[in-house]
Amino acid sequence: MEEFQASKPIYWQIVDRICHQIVRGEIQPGEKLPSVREMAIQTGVNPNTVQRTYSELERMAIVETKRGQGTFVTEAKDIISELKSRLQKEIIEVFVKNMKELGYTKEEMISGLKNFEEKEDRG
Amino acid sequence: MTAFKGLYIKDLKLSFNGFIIGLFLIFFAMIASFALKEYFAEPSIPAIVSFIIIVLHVFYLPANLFTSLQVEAQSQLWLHNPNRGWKLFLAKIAAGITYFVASLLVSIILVKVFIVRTEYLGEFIGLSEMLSDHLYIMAGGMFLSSIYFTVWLLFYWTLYHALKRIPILNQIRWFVLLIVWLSVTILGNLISKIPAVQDFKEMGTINFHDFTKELGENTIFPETAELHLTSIIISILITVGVFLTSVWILERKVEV
Amino acid sequence: MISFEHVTKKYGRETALNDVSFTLEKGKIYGFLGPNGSGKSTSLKMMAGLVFPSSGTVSVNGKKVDRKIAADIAYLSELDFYYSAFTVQDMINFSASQVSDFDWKKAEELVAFMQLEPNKKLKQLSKGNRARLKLVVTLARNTPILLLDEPFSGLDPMVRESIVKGLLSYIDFANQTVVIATHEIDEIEMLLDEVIAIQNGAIRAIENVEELRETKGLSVIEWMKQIF
Repeated sequence: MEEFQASKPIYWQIVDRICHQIVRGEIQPGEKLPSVREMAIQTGVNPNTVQRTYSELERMAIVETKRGQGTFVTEAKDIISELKSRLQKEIIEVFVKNMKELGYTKEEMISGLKNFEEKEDRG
Repeated sequence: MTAFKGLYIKDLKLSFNGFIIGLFLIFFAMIASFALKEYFAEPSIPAIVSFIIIVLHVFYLPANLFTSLQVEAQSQLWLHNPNRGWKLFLAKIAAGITYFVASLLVSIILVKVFIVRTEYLGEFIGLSEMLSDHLYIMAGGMFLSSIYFTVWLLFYWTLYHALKRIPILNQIRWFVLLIVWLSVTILGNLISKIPAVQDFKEMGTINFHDFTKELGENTIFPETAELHLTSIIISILITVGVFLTSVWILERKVEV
Repeated sequence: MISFEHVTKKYGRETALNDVSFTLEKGKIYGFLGPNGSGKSTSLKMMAGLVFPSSGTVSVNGKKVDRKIAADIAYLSELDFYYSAFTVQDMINFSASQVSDFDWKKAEELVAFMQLEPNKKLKQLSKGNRARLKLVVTLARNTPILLLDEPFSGLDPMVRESIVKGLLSYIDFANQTVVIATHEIDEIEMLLDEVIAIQNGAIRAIENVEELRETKGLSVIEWMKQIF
C-alpha cells in the first residue's frame, strides 16, 4: 500500500510515479508492467483507477498494450528522452517559480546552483 | 449438497449439545430411579420415572426447536439466504425430529431392557400395561402432538421477533403473545362449541372399546379409546395453516 | 442497478432514513460514509432485503427487493455472529450449499490467502480470523452485488490490510457492484470509485473520488471533514 497526495487524482499520481521510474531506469524500455490487478494489489488502489493510469500512459505513448500479452514500456528512444526532458522542465519550472517568488534574479539562481553543486561534489 | 441438506446438517450441529445433555438427563433419571427404589423400598419408582421420561418427550421437539431458533435469533442473519422460509423452518423441524426420535428410541430401549423385562413393573396395572403393551401407540401419539406444539411454537416465536420492528409493542411483546394466545384459545373453544362443528367432528369416529376393556378400570388415558378422524384432519389443517402463517411472518415481517 | 426512491424507515418515533433517493450503477465501488447511527447499516440491510422500508421503494435491477434478493446479493454483516459448533470448513460447506453461485476454487484460494485452518472451530478463531472467514464466504460467491457492512470495524491493522488485499484480489471489478459501509475511511479511500456521505438518515452528497481530487483538490477524508 502506498501513500498518495490529497490534491491530485490518484491515477495521475501513479502515472507520475511510473514516469519517474522509467526516467530513473528502474523500469527498462520494453519491460512489461504488472497487470492491472497486480498493480492494484501492489498500490492498494482500485483497479478501475489503475486501468485509467494505463490508458493515460498509453495515450502519452509511454506504454503499449499488446493484445493478450500485457502492457509494455515503449522502446522508442525519442519518447523516453522526451519524457526525460519533460520531467526536467517540470522540476525547473517549479524551482524557478519559487525562486522568483523569493525575489532572486536569473544570475543569482545560476550561481546558487553552481555553488550548491560544488559543495555536493566536495561532499 | 442440496440447500436443504446443508440446512439440515447445520441445524443438527446447532442442537447436538442439547441432544447429548438430554441423553445424559435420561440416563441420570433412570439411575436415580433405581437408587430411590432401594432407598424408599418402593419397587414401582423406576416404572413411574420411565413413564414420566417418555411422556416428557412431548416437549422434546418444541424445546429442541426453541434452542435452535434462539441461536438464529441472536442475529437473524440466517434470513440472508435465497432459500424460502419454509425450507429454513422444515430443516430445523427435520433436525429436531431426528434427535427426538433418537432420544425416544433410547428411552424405549431402556424401558424395555431395564423395566419391562425385570420385576420392577410396579403395582399400577395401567402403568405396567402401558409400558409393556402400548408403548408404541403412546410414542406415536406423542410424536404427533409434539409436531402440533412445535408448529405453534414456531408461530409464537416468529410473531415475537416480528413485533421487534414495532417499537410500541416491542416493550410488551410477551403481553402481546399472551393476548394472541388467549384469543386463539377462546376462538377455538367457541368454534368447537358450535353444534354444527361438533356434529362434523363426530362424523369420523372410530371406537376402541376392546382397547379400553383390555386396560381395565385403572386406565390412564380412557379418552384414547375414541379416535375422531375429522378431528385429526382438522388438526392437520391447523398445523399446516399455522406453519404457513409462520413462514409468511418470517419472510415479510421479521427484520435483521 | 440499485435504487432507492423516497425511502423512509422509521422505528417508532426514531427515523433511521428520511426520504432517501439515489441510484447506484453497475460495476462501481461505492463507499457509504457517515458516523455511527447515520443510516448506513439500515440502507445496506434494505438493499439485502433484510429490513423493509416504512415507505418508498428499494429496487435492484428494476425489481422490488424482498428476501429472495439474497440470490443476487452477498451481504457481509458487521456482527461477529457465528455458529459455535462450526469449523472453518463447515462454514464454507454450508455457505456453498445455500447458493448456486458459490465458487469453490475461489473459496479455496481465499482460505489459503487469509491463512485460515479449515479444521479449526470458529469459537477458537480470533475475532480477526472470523472476520477474514466472513469475507471468504462473501467473496467466494459470484454475485452481481456485494454489500459489506463495516468490514474493518474493531480489527487490527494486519487484518484490515488482508481484507483490503482480499477485496482487491477477488472482486470482479468489471461485473460486480460493491457497496462498503464504513466510518473508517483510511483503509478504503483508494478502493472507492464513488462516495456517498450520509448523516442523520439523509444523503448529504454523492461524489466521484477522482473528481473530488481533480476539481476540488480534496481527498475523501478532507471532503468528509468539510461536510460533517
